[in-house]
Amino acid sequence: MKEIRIHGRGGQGSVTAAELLAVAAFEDGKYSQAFPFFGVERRGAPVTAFTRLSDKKIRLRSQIYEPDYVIVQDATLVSAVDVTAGLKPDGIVIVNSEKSAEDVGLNAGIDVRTIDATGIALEIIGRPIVNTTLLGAFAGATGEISIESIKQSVLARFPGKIGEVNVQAAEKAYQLMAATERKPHKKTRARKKEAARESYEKIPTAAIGKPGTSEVTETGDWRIFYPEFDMEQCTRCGKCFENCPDAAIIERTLRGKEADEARKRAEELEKAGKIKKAAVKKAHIQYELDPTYCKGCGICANECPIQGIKMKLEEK
Amino acid sequence: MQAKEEERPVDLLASGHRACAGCGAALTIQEILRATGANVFVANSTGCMEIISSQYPQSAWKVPWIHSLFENAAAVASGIEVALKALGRDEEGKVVVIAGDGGTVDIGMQAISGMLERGHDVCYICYDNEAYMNTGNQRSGSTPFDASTTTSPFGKKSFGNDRPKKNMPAIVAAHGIAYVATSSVGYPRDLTKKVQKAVSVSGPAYLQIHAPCNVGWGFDSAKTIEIARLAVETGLWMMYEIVDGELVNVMKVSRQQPVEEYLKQQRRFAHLFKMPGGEAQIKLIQDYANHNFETYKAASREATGEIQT
Amino acid sequence: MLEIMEGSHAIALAVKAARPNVVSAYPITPQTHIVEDISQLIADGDLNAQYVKVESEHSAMSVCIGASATGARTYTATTSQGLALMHEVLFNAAGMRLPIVMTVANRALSAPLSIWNDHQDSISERDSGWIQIYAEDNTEASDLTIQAYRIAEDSRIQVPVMVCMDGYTLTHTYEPVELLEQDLVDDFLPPYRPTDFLSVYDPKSFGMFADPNYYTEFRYQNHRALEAAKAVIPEISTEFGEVFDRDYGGLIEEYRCDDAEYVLMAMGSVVGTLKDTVDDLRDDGVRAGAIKLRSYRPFPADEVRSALAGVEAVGILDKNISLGFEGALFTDVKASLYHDDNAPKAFGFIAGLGGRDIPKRIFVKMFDCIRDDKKIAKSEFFDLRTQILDFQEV
Ligand SMILES: Cc1ncc(C[n+]2csc(CCOP(=O)(O)OP(=O)(O)O)c2C)c(N)n1
Ligand code: SF4
Ligand code: SF4
Ligand code: SF4
Ligand SMILES: [Mg+2]
Repeated sequence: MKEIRIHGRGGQGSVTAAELLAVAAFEDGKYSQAFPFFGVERRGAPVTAFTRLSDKKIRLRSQIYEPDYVIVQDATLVSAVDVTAGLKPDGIVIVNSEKSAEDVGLNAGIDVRTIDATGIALEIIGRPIVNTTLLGAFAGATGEISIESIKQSVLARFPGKIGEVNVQAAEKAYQLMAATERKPHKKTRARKKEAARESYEKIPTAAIGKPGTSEVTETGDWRIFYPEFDMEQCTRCGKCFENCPDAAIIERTLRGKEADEARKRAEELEKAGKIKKAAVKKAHIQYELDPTYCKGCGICANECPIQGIKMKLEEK
Repeated sequence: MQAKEEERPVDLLASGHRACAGCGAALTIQEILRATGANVFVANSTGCMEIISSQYPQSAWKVPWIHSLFENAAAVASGIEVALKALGRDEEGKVVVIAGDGGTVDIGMQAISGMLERGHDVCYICYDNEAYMNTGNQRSGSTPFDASTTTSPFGKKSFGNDRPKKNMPAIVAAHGIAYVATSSVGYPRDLTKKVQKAVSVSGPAYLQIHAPCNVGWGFDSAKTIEIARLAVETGLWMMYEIVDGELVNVMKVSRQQPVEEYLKQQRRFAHLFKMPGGEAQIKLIQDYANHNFETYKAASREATGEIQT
Repeated sequence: MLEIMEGSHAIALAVKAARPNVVSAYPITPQTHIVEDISQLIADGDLNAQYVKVESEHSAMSVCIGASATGARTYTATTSQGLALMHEVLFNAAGMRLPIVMTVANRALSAPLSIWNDHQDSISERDSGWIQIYAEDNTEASDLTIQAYRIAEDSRIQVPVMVCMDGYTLTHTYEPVELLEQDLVDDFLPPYRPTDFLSVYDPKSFGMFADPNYYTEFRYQNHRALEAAKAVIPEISTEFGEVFDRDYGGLIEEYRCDDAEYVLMAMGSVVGTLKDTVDDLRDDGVRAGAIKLRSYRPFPADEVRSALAGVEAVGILDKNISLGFEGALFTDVKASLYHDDNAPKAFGFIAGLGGRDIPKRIFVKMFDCIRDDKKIAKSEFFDLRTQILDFQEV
């Protein structure tokens, strides 16, 4: 039996990927099983899904603790989740990243394969939906499932044009992966990360929480795009700030010297005809992105009346 | 006994909550709390906003907050309100319900009716994302006509949800309460003003705030506000107040947009543009929007005085 | 001091003495007299509480949750269909660890509709996390109401308490009741001062959800609280006895069990009839005894086991049935005896459903049955009118 764990973010299609793997394996004549970690996560939050493949009927119903393969759909998960937890000594980790295997931040002893699935998906599908691309990569890297079956399962799930572009993306990733050499496995076993995220704080009598404690969750990891502010043009209308669902834009009031400098700069801009007089009066107000929490929804950019905010692809 | 101004945290719904990127409902709550300030008690029904904000041990709430069940937020709020009175703490803050459309117009209907009729000093706010989003976009009584949801899907024999949106504000108003209003997350100033009015009324007040859900409705997360505004500009979401039983302050729309502008941007209506007979359905929706404009305009009168507090 | 009054009125007076801040209830027979009397006490200014006349029992309990979480002492009462309608909210109140006190005027569940007494309603809420104590008479029910607040609000417990009293048989019966002197109650039951409550000055979040990393531990704590109540209930009963000179003992009451060979166990008002039957049998030279189970949850397994040590046979009366199996008490008693090599033979009797009266002769018959060692595998319907049944036994 082979066990696969998929780490992704809500909305990236991790569960679909696990299911498609299971369907493809079934097409290959195997028994298979796919299931999510049943959670309440919304788009962007870390999620986990599992697939088992076997020649025999699968009776096991527990989660997967010692995977043969791990698929990481979003490179930011490497620092947020212990993605290699329990990985078999000769296991393979496939990470969606434009970086090289050495640079994604996983232990050197682990067989890591990277693939720029986001790049491929944007190029071929036109949207940063990477699950099908990664399935192609999985077939190429592991040989556990035939690319034909992967394609078949994708087409069955997404008929028509959408399915076709997804298949193309999967095929491209398959070719790229199949061409990469399997790294000779070093015997050093992956160092177990400390269960740092596990909290041993004593629980109260009932599930009563303290105010604002959600702030420990850094939802900035969720984003694919980030907003870039052009403060020179900014009219200080405050629309970006007031429309951010995540309170990820900070409104700061500059005082003293800082405020004077900001005013001076604004006056120059006004002379140059770049901003209006009204904006000069509010020059001491600054709007700054709080990258810790910005989920990259793009509302601020959409609402900025002067198009002073641009959404840029986050490097991962 | 107001908390000191400078002690007030600005964002009373803390960052780190797990709403989807671009969530209109989360923004609605953010704006509600900005309008009320810190001196409120929130009773929240089960639903997206409860789930994204309260996974033990992390709470996004910086105001006293309680979640009990799906359908009982109005009753829980009634309990808080009478307890504050009984304990002589009624100056401490206003009790506010924050509930989804499902928790309000469907399963919570009985508890709300009871709360209104008993005259509790509670401000009930429904964020209306037009379906049961927490459980995966199933139809609610507040789902608009022809919207495709997971339990009202379009198909060969279906254009989606075959019933119009329940007129909850009218039902609430029939209880004879002093203040009923609708607003939208697309109009922050209107929203703020109405929240402030609603919490300043003594006795029950009701506010229903249109809050687009990009995930369930199927549009780009950047467009939450744009979609919210389009709903108003097309006449599919009416903004008004019912003060002491009288319809007033219907928001004027200077340039009415055809409903297609709103529908075509959302996956839940996409089938109307592809299916045979879809055009006729869109026409029905347009008629509904026109009817909205006409009837509300005819009934509306500008507000004369301030709301009694 | 004794005064004669209806059981429901005694409860209303006990509630008044407990000084709740918030009362919230919905009328249902045979609980109605309790809430009517409380309404009158409030209307007359004798009880200073907010009374929320809700539109359903679901909301009655929900109001109690909101009020209790805000720091108020709360009271409600219901029965039967009302209790069943509360089902969801009961679990919620217990899990939130709110010390709400409720009188259950025990009544059968529909269908067929029956307004008469049995224990099916509260037994069906066995697993809700509430403490359940059953009263034998109206003084006990009234005294229990006061004790219930002490138990529920005890920092070691913090779970809600149901005081169960038989509908009609107690609620609508006039009998002399020991009055609760207000000054003594005030000494015994200080005002409710929780550590956690909703406040804008310390804004806590109540009712968060727990993922699989936490849920088990919260459930475990809730369970431990009920287990802890096994010590706290008798402790508070003793303390009550010191103040009011009426001590009901602990989780169970043994009646003439010391040298008993044959014992019947029951809950609620029927225990009085049972005690009289035991006396009669003793007069006839039968070594009979009775056990009154006061606390059904937590279930006093150890106390039951030691009370039954040396007993030849025990019969358990269930005024309820887990359809498809047997009476709930019978199951619990047998489970308590499982590790006991010298456990008595156990017999299960279902009787008194939907208001069917249980006279002494029924108990005599039960004693006869356990003395004859009649083989009974499951609980037997003991007062069945087989004449009116029209089906073949399979
Ligand atoms: C009694 C009961 N029935 C069903 C559910 C399942 N449930 C939880 S939230 C929800 C939908 C919530 O919809 P809404 O009130 O519109 O809030 P939203 O999730 O859309 O924000 C449902 C059906 C429940 N928790 N309790
Ligand atoms: S992209 Fe979205 S989350 Fe990020 S700052 Fe802009 S509005 Fe806030
Ligand atoms: S929306 Fe644009 S112009 Fe307005 S404050 Fe933000 S960045 Fe400046
Ligand atoms: S599903 Fe919709 S309402 Fe729920 S959190 Fe996501 S965007 Fe918000
Ligand atoms: Mg909803």
